[in-house]
Amino acid sequence: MEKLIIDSISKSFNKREKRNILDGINFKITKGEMIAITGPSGSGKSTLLNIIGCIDFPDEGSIYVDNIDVKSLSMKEIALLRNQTFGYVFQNFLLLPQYTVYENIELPLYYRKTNKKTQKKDIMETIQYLGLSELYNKYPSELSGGQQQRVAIGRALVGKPDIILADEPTGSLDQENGKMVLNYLKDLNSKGSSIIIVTHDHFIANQCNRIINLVDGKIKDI
Amino acid sequence: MNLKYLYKYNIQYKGRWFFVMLQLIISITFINWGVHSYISSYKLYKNVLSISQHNDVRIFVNNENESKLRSFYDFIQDLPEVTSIATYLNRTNYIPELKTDTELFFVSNELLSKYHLEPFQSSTDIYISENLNNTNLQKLNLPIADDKKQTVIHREFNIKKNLSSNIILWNGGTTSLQGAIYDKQNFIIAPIQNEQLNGKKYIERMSYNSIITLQKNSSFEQFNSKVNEYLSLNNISAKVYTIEQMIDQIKKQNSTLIFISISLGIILTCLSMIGFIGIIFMSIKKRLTDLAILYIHGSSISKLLLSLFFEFTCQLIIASSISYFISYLLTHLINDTPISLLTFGISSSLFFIIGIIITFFIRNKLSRTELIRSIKEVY
Repeated sequence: MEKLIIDSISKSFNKREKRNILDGINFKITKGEMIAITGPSGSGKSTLLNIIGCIDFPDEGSIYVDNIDVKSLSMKEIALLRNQTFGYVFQNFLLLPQYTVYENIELPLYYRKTNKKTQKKDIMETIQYLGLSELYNKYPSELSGGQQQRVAIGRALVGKPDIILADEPTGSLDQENGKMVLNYLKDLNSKGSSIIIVTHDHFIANQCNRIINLVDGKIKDI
Repeated sequence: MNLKYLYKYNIQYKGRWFFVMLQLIISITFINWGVHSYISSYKLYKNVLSISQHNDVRIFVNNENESKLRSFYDFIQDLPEVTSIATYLNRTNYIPELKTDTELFFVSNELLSKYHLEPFQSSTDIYISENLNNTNLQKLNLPIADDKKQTVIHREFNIKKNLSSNIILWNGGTTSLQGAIYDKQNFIIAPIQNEQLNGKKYIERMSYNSIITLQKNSSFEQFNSKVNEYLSLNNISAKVYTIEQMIDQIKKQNSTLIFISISLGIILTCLSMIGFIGIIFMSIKKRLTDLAILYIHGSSISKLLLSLFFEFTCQLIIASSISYFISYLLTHLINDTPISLLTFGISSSLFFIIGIIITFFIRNKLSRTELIRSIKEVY
C-alpha cells in the first residue's frame, strides 16, 4: 500500500522566467521503503523534500499522504500532519540553541496534547537509544556535530512518525559519525518507518531500496 | 502558542530583552508627556470656557488706586446692562477644581442687594439653604481642612435667611473654598471677609479676576462704550473683553505652548513608533530560523504570529506600566499636574494599535517562503 503519492508536482521560484525547479515529478513510496534522492546542486532535491514534508507546497500537482490530498487540508491540519506523520533531519541539525538536548527532542511532542508522563517516557527511551543519556541536560553549543545530529534524529523519531525525511543528514559530519547516522536511519527503517534521504553521497544512496535521480527538476531515472 | 519558546528565548537573550524594554519605556514616556501636554492645554481651554456664560464680560484694570477702583465698580454695578459682578481666585489654581455646574460669587454687602437679600451687618452673618442648621453646617464642613475651626465651628453665625437653593457658606479661606467645591455645591454665596471687603485684597482681585454678567438682551457694544467713556473720563487704564475675546486671547497666549507640545508629542510618537517597528522586525529577523524550526515541527504560521503578538503585548504592558510611573513622577514634580489615566490609556492604546498593524505587516515577513529561505541560509 502506498504511503505517499507524488503526482505531477511542479514548482518554480521565479514565475516570470518560468524556470521550473521541479517539473512534473511522479513517484510513489510504500510503507517501510528507504529512498535516496540524488542529483547535482540546484536540481531541486531539497525543494522536493520540503514539498513532500508539507513544509512547502507545489505550484501544480498533488501529494497524497495515506491517500489524502494535502491540498484539501486546512493549514491547521497540515501543521498536524507535519507534526505527526513526518520526522525531519537536516544537514545543519537545526536545533534550537536555547533548548537543552531533552527539550529539543521534546519539541514535536510539545504540539501534541498527549499524556506528559508518556511523553517523558518516550523522550527518555529516545535519548537512551541514541546514547545521549549523559548529555540530555546540555545545550547544542556544548555538543559535537555528531552528537547534535543524533539529537536531531532523536527529535525526528520521538513522535514515532511514519516517514522520516533527511536532507543531507551526513553532510556536515565526518565519516565515522556519518556511518553512525546512517545506521540509525537503517535501524529505524527496519522498524517500519519510511525513510527519504536527500544525498550526494553514493555510498548512502546505495544503501537505500531505490534511488531517484533528479536533474534540472526532472526525474532522470529511478 | 509556543510560550515555552518565548520564555526560553527571552531568558537566553536577557540583554536584548532589557534593551527592547528600555527603548519602549523611553518611547512611551515621551508619548505620555506629549499627550499629557496636549490634554492639559485642552483642559485649561475647556475650563475657561465652562466657567463663563456667553454674555460675560471681563475687565482688566491696570494698577490704579483703591478709591478709583471702588468708584469704578460702583459705576459698573449701577449700569442697567449688568446682572452681577463676581470674582474668583487665581485662575490657574482655581479653574481645574471648579465643577462645571458651580457658580461662585464673592459678594460685598452692596452687591447682595442685587440678589434681593438683606446686606450683611457683620462677618458672622450668613445665608444658608433651608435644610441646614448649625449642626449640619458643621458636618458639612468636616472635610474642610485647616481653617474650618476659625471659619465655621468656633464662630457663631447670625442666620439672616434660609435660602431655597442649595447654598453653602464660604467665609474667606482658600482651603475652605476648596472643601466647599469638593462638596459639589452648585451655588455659593460668599460674604467677603472684612479685610477683603474693606481692604485692598478684594479690589485687587476684582481688577484682574472679575466676571461681569450682562443682561441677556443687553448689547455689549453699548456697555463697552459706557465703560470706556467712564474710563477715559476718570483716566483709568483698563481693557474690556467679551468672554469670546478673552478665550481667543488665552488661545493666542497658549497657542505657542500647545503647538510645541503637540509637535513634540507627534515627533516623539513617530520616532518611538519607528523604533518600535524596528525592534519588532529586528526581533523577527534574528530568530527566523528558530521560527522555521517551530513551523516544521508542528506550529502553524498563525500560531507563530500569535506568539509574537503575545510577546510584544506583554512587553508593551510592562513598559507602559513602568513609563506611566515615571511619567507620573515627572509630571508631578515638574508642573504639579500628574499624568491622568486617560493620557496613559491614549498613549498605551496608540502603541497597542500600532502593534496590531505591525502584526499584519510581519505576516509577510513570516511567510512560508521566508521561513524556508531561513533554513537554507543556515547551510
